[in-house]
Amino acid sequence: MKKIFCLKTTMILLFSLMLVTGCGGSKEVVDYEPRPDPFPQPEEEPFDGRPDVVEKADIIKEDVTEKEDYFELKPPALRTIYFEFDESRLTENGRAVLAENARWLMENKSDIVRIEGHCDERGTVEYNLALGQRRAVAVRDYLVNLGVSRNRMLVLSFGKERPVSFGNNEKAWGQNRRAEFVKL
Amino acid sequence: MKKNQLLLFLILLIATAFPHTALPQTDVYLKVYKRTFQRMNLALHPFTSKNNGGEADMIRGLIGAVLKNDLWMSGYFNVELQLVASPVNGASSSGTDNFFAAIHGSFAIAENLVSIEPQVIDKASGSVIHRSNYKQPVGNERSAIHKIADDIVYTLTGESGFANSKVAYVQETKNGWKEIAVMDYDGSNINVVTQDKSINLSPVWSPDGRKLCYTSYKNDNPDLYILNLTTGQEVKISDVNGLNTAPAWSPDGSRIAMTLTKDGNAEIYTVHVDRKFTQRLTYSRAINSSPTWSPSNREIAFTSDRSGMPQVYIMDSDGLNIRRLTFEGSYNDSPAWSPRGDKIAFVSRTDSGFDIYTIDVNGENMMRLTDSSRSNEDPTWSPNGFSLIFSSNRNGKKQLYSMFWDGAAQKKLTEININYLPSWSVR
Repeated sequence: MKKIFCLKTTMILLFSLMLVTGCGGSKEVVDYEPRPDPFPQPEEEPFDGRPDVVEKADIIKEDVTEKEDYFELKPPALRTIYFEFDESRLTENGRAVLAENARWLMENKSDIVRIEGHCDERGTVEYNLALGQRRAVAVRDYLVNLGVSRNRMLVLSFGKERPVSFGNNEKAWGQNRRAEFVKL
Repeated sequence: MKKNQLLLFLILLIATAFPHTALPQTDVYLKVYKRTFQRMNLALHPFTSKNNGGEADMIRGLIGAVLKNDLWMSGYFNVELQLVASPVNGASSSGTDNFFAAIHGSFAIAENLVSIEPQVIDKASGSVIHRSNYKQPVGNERSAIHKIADDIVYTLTGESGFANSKVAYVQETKNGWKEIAVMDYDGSNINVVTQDKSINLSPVWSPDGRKLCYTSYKNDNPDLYILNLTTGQEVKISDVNGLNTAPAWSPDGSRIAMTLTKDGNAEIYTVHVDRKFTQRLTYSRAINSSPTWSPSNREIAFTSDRSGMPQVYIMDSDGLNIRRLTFEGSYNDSPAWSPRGDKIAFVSRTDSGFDIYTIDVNGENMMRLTDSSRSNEDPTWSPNGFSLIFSSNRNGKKQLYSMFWDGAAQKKLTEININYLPSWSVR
């Protein structure tokens, strides 16, 4: 009788041991049924002409002394171009500005520039870094097509980390979605 | 029969020889598998001390406040502060008897050291079920109190607490620099760990909690660095031309998933931490970014706009078997896989701004956790998957907030500077 009791206790202990060790794994479900995309079109916002670069003055008025040098590096003849929300496609206006920039670059053949892609504050940091990169690359590739040597142009994305305008409105966002030229 | 008995005896012997793998060392009062359960009521009595005066009062107050917050934040307990420090062995110390357990204790200050001795008393039996002693230099009591909270959580639930966990994040100072900072999970004890005077982004913890991996622009390109917090030593882990961003350390510690643009487009790669070789995981003309590992180490969730807008996808950690997770909303990004494995938190663009949602890994149960007119972003899970820390500009500047997994109890953690991109340590 005692032996049977011992055996029972042992079995219970063993079973609970199995329970304790067996419950650690995480549950994962892998089967998915792809569903049709309910929102096939990306949201687009109206883009009303190109914003002017007067915002630079506002920036320097902010207490950021280090940023002044940063802007002085920029050659006056190369102009910033602007993009639509979540877009790296060049606008009509952007192409026109880039044609002028290309002419400047052909005339100043010794200059090497860095094209810096920027985004507005909406969306996440990491996605915007990739979007800014895409914008800078789109600008570089367009200039290459216009005849500017590829190895005179570096690209760099700042995502949404370096806005020039600090509002939370359509105007500020439009001014921040840009590609800038920095002479190196 | 005898043979069988011997075998059983041997198995039992092994089981008792390795108690940690076989049976819980202590009595577990509540084993938690589900996310919803009743919180246990605990009575927290003021700690007694032979020391008197302002310093003792301050430490007593600190023990009460930090312990109460830690136990509440653990998700398991309601804590009621008691007015009287009852005798340590008193089972019926308070008038009400709806408490599961009572916490008593004492502390002593001697030669610039604070020694704290907590006791947990089971209300039903009146017996002491946990007792410990922690010493810390004066001014450093918080870490001892966090350890006590974790002990209490473990004693009563069998789960590891996370009161000693840390949060790394980006702190933007007035002059525009973005440095990496580390704080306790409750927002105290802030340390800025980089002085690069540059843009540093996206810190993530190594699984052992000793290192941080992050992006820095200090060499004019967003490169990935690993900083050893113990030694202060920093090494570059990836510095190819273009983006080296969005690091995610694998749960087994061996690899870091990240976004590179070296092949022209933002794609996800992994780099082996010791051997430095990289492996490409995604091949698509769209943006692929923000990888996050499943706790099993076998899968990676990430953001891609291959459908025309950012959505969250899951793939095996070798890049195969890609399937879309999110279908609602036009902008879903910043996935964070819960350490429990069951849910993925992410950010979705709403009519009013950006909000944090969770979804089960099978694509069901999409749940909105924040609802404010501004941006709520960068979700990161607590080590036990019961809470989240995130950034929000709901009160103006971007600051860090915490909340429970269902969105309850949203609480601001930081006040000074601009703070965002939090990453909660794994333990």
